[in-house]
Amino acid sequence: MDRPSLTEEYLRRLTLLGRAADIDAERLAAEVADHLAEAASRYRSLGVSPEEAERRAIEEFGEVEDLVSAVASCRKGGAMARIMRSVPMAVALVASAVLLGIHMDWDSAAAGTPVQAAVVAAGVLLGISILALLARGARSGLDASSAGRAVAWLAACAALGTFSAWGGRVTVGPVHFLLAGRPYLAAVAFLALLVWGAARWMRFRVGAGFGLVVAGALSLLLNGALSGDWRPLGSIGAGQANLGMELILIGWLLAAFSWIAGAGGVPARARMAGWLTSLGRRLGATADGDRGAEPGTSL
Amino acid sequence: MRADLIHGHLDLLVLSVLAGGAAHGYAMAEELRRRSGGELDLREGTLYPALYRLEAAGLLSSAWLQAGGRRRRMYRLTRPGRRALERQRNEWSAFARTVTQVIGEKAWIGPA
Repeated sequence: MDRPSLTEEYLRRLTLLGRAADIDAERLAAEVADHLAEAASRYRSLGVSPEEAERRAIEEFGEVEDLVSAVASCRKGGAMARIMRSVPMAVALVASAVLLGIHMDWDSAAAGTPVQAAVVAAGVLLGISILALLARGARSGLDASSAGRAVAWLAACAALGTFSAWGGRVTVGPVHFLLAGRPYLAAVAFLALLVWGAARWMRFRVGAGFGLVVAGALSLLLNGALSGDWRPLGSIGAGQANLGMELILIGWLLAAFSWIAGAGGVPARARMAGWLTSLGRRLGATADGDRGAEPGTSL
Repeated sequence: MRADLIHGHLDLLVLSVLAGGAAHGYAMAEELRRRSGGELDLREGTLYPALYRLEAAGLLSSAWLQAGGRRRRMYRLTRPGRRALERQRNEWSAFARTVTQVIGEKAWIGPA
């Protein structure tokens, strides 16, 4: 087996340290790889041997440890920037919670009341925050090669959202068609699988869960539109609004699970392990204390 | 030029280079070298934390581009970035003018 080149070894260390420091190591490694390749190419064009060109490029670039620690510190710094990054996600979660909570009790008597206004506001905010999250994702993670995959993912989300808003009823002139019950749900499940597959294809870790949220929001927006009874945001008791809500709920749960299980969830997992350990210690100390207080126990 | 002198002004230098159009990290390093006549000799890796910091502050945006079989991250100034550049340029001019007034144009010669 060939020995890794100096650049490969440098990038391997960069990726390992970057992951440990909880930064976007893959992005940084890709940028550094391009940079080092350009720098080495410049040295080669000056007549330097390939190995020496790599060595000089790396020397000019600097130490891996310095780079990773500098990038990690600028990610951690800036509380306001961190808050701004999490605003669209927080708004989307709150709006989803409002829609899920209010939907349970809403009936036609709610028309024109503050309850309806809250639902409409939550629906609008959910739509805007989803668009903001999609735009941010497209800005930071897409290149020409992955754009096609992103289009496939969006198409799968749109198909699932539209289909679940449809309700299974079609009326063309005198012809009525109704796809209901298990076949309808099986078709919804199949489209959800397409969303999952497209997310895997574009290597979007939380894409399956987030795709269900996007589809659920679209379903709420289009609720009943395809069967001639458009009631956006689930005007209650009719249409497929429940399915849209369920997609949103399952979507967020799935996205949260994928995030916690992935590299982004390393700090969350570490914190959770810390809490559990300290809880275990506290419980252990309480049990020891209880035992110590028993009559006849010598200390 | 000493690296610690450059680092305090790296954000302004990066914003200035990007005022000429979108660029990737290596092109920015080359442009800094070219504009300074080789005087600005910083570790090229120090550019990336500055780029990430400026992007997190909303002064830059970036996107992947496929170039010669490699993925390349291109950075460009945002509107707030252009405003920040203008402000920092003015601050730098005022600072440089004031310091020059205090130390004198030929202070580098030292006392006779």
